[in-house]
Amino acid sequence: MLKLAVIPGAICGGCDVALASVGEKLLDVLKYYEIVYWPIAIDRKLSDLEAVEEIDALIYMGGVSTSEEYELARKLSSKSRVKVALGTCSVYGGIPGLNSLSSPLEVYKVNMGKSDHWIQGDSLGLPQLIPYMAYTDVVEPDILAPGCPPSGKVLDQLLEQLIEYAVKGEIEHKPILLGDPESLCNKCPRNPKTTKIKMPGIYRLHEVELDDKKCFLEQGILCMGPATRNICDHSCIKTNYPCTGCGGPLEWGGDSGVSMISSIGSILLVDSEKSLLEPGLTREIDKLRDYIGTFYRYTLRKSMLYKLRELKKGGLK
Amino acid sequence: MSWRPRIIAFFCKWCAGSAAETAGVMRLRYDPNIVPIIVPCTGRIDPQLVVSAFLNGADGVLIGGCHTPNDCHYSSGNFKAFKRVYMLRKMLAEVGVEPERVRLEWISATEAPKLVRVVNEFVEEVRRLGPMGGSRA
Repeated sequence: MLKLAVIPGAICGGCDVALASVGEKLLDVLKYYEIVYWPIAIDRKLSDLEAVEEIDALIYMGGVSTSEEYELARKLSSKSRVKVALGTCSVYGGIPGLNSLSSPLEVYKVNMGKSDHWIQGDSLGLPQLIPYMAYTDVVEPDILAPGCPPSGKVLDQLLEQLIEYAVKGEIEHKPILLGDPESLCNKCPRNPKTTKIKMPGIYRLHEVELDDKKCFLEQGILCMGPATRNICDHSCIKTNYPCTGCGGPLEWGGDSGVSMISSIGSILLVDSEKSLLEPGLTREIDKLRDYIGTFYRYTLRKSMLYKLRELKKGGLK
Repeated sequence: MSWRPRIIAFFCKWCAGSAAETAGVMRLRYDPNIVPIIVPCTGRIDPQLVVSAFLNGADGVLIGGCHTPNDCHYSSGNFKAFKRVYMLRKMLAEVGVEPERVRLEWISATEAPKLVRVVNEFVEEVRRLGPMGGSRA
């Protein structure tokens, strides 16, 4: 039997529940693997896991935000053969990745108000808040499974990969990014009729009566579909809610935010550019607030813009 | 050695690019810190190219295209560039990079003196802002 460990890092719990709710398909995996650690499913202590000498497959969920999680992620990964980053936080930093624009102390103050219990040093032996990282910043995983939470499709692919590894004994073409290598628009059920999409302006959800058959962008609603990998078979779009981009960019190493502003540039008010001129276009674009929170809601930590910020601060060479 | 700003300039083939050639014919001098790249149309410039330029060592990016509303050879490429650059500058400001490091100018094929003025002004501006990478000399 191979050994499988599932580790929750800085997690909201969504990925854990998603993985547990795969249900019977987990039994196929259990033909090959024995679960040595998974707090939500079995009763084992962390000390038991530390006593295990080698782990065959390690699934890490969530980001890395405390010194304890950092040590855990590093130590356990070093004795694991296959490392899986499960969930957008683990792969791209996720929503907590927006913390990267602030220091741990600033983050603490936002959450705890004026409380002065911020502890410098580890006088009490408590884990310390460290600058937030994705799991992919700590180690190089072999399998990347994005999604917030990962969809049934991604989890099925993940279990298939794990079984394949158990049978073949190796993983080819690492790292593997799960999901389909295409943008959500490619097979969108809303299937825009026109070949040329015209975005009539920029509106917020409450400002328009949404037509549930028509492309969101054609209705002036920002939908991250053009710059997002198909990991979900349009689960949000089918329920009449625009994509917010949890699947991350189309390819590993891509960048969804700048791709998205590029595609908005091509479609926003294309039919009235020459009458509105620059001031009119500016007025419409100014309706956009919080660019980072809109276009990099899930992927800021691994984005080009974050690298640029580090470069500016002198962190990169 | 004193620091010299490195600037990538994307010029469209029809207007700013031709203006750069005219400037050469007219024997006008401008700062040698810019590396001009001629592209078919400013509408072709993906914001990703601009950010990559910065990540690969540029301190500023200048984009020169045709005058709005009707000069663009492909009808409306310059408006696409305008929207993209406008949004990119806002985005840069949010992560703490000076938006002045990206400049978009409309320069027609005959405006060689304007091209020279814009290049010199921009080089001066970037020199004032300092190097992109905090510690690089």
